[in-house]
Amino acid sequence: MKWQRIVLMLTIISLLALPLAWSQGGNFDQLQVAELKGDSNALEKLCADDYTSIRGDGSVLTKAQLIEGYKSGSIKYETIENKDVKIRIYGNTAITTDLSSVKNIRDGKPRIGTNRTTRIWVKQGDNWKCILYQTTRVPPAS
Amino acid sequence: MKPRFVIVVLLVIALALPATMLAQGSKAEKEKEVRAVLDETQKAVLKGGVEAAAFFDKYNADDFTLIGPNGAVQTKAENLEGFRSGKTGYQKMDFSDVKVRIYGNTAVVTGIVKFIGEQAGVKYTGNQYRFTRVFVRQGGIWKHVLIQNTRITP
Repeated sequence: MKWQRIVLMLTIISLLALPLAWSQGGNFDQLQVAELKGDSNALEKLCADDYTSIRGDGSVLTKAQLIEGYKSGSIKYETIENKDVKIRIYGNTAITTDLSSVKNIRDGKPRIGTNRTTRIWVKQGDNWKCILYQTTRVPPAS
Repeated sequence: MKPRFVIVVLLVIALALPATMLAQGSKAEKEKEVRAVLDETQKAVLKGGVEAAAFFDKYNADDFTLIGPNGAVQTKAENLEGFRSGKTGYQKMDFSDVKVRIYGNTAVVTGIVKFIGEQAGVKYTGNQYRFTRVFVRQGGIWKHVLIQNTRITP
């Protein structure tokens, strides 16, 4: 049937387009821009209320602590460069992983390094919100 | 207030309550299932070898990814091969501060794990790691799709 083919084609197109939308100006990019700008309003919108951040030293921040960190300047990114970005969609959950080279300031201490980072996203209403961030420091190649 | 309106409101509440309780029960049931898989995971890891490989063949999704504490990434095939070959083996794996969050058919588990053992050339000597484990229910089984470990440093 003709209409069945159309539905199938639209489904395939939307499935193919979803990861593309994520990587090109989608939530993943928006969150990174907000981190670089220290835009607490954007972070407020992009992170879910139960957001958890697991930092490179294993310490944990809530959403409120994260936003306060950006407002106070104790968290500040100067550059973030991503490689190996992968996006996996499982219904209303998405996982993004990447290898990022960062130059940042944490509690007044500058750091330059490479991190393997995961973000977990959940669709709430019409919006994808980040519910978890975890980063693991990659030791410099010897 | 008209009696008919009160009756309608009470009826709506009476119908909504069991649905809410059912949804909560369902979430609690899912958390119980995920915690059971986590317990079985611990047992399988400590057994090691081919038994662990058989367990993870079933309980790791095909697109499984493990991000180790040095940032190295393992696929499902590499993870299973590690157990089969004996290059991956643990004498101790203790979970604490475990929190389970359910989002439909996805479970996000966070906590602290203490390892003694070896995996992909990395020796674990009893340090603590903050972990995330993501499970997705596929074919009635909660399968790992991602594990990430970050060492807790002072």
